[in-house]
Amino acid sequence: MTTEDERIECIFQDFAEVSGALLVKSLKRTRSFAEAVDDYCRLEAEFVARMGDSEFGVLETRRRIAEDIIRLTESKHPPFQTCRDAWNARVLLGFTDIDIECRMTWFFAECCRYDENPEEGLAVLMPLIAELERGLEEARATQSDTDFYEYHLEPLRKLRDVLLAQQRGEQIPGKRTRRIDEEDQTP
Amino acid sequence: MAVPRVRTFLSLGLLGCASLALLPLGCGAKITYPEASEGPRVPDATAERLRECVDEFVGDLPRGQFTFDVVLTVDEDGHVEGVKSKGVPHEELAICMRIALRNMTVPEQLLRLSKVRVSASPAPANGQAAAERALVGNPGVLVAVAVVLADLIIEAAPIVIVIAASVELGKSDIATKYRQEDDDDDPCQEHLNACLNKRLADRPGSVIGETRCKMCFDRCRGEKEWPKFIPLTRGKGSCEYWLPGWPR
Repeated sequence: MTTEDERIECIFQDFAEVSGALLVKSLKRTRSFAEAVDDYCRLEAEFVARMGDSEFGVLETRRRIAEDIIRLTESKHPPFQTCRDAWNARVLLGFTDIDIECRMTWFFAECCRYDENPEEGLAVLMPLIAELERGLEEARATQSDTDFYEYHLEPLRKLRDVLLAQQRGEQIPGKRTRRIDEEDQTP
Repeated sequence: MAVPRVRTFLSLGLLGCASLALLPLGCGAKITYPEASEGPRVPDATAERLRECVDEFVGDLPRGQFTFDVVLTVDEDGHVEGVKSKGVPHEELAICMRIALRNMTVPEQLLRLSKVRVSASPAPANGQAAAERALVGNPGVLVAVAVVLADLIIEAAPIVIVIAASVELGKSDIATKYRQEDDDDDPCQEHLNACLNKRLADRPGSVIGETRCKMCFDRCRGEKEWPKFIPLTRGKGSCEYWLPGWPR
């Protein structure tokens, strides 16, 4: 490992610690989505500057920031267009690996469920589930470890089933949606 | 974050040495129930988990007696939905205890009880009378939906912690209000916060710049339960940040 690689790794260790603390702070109910995004923009600017000429460092920093913003959309329920923009921004950056793609896809599909946009959620879920199912079959055929595929397939399939039920116009017991939340708030 | 963690480990290390010198192996904090305290008891497994929390952080606490006032809201199946607490002057201990209580399942027998019973415990509750601390809120509004549990005392000389818990049954307006007001009431947020303050936070996630804790958090959001482990490129990685012996 070169000195430059070590420098980048050290910066990422700092980043992991600071961004973890920022996520905890941002998830608090007292923190609005817009305030949290401002904080993340400042964090991104700081760490992109620290990465200097490292294209890898800059790209991965932007990816991590975009991922935390997607995590926040699921908790904070900003308008659906904001959720969609956050997802599109994340897709443009490309996924580092399939693990993070599975996790982020779940968050976006969950936003789609909350806003009752099943088609949009299914459009991202179905190809990913198909890819994981292919991987699972290959792993079984070669007697490799299947844990990874099974682990990710479980929540993604559950969410797919809920979105399919939504598409059929069924009410999903125990699941909050924006419509239900807004009705509850109406005096 | 590194300095408090080092301090915690030093404290625990010193406590461990002191305990080995003074106590037989296996002895630590002790659980008792005052005779004067009425009401059903916290399940043994939960009491033991609370005792472990005190054991873990006792070295960081000033000597004296503390009362951990806690209101649990449970669903109709007895699963704890929310934990509202106050009274422990140590954030990590409070989180540990809230997690222990959140994992508790309230016995069916208790769910059938339908009247408020106010603890007759002599234990002071941070200046509050027993009736005042029976419920953090307006007891009048909560009649028929709340039960006060027997006080649980955990002694770890020179510290005594009194756990004064009550259970709200059903979803009263006031319980909903508390859930909305409590910033850290979401179990995944609470776990994430606690995880990031433990050595597990030093373990990387699947991508650079991410921690294992965030991977565990992502799973928790999907499953509404903090996972025991997550799959890694090779094998599995634990999410049980509260267990000793990190890194793993």
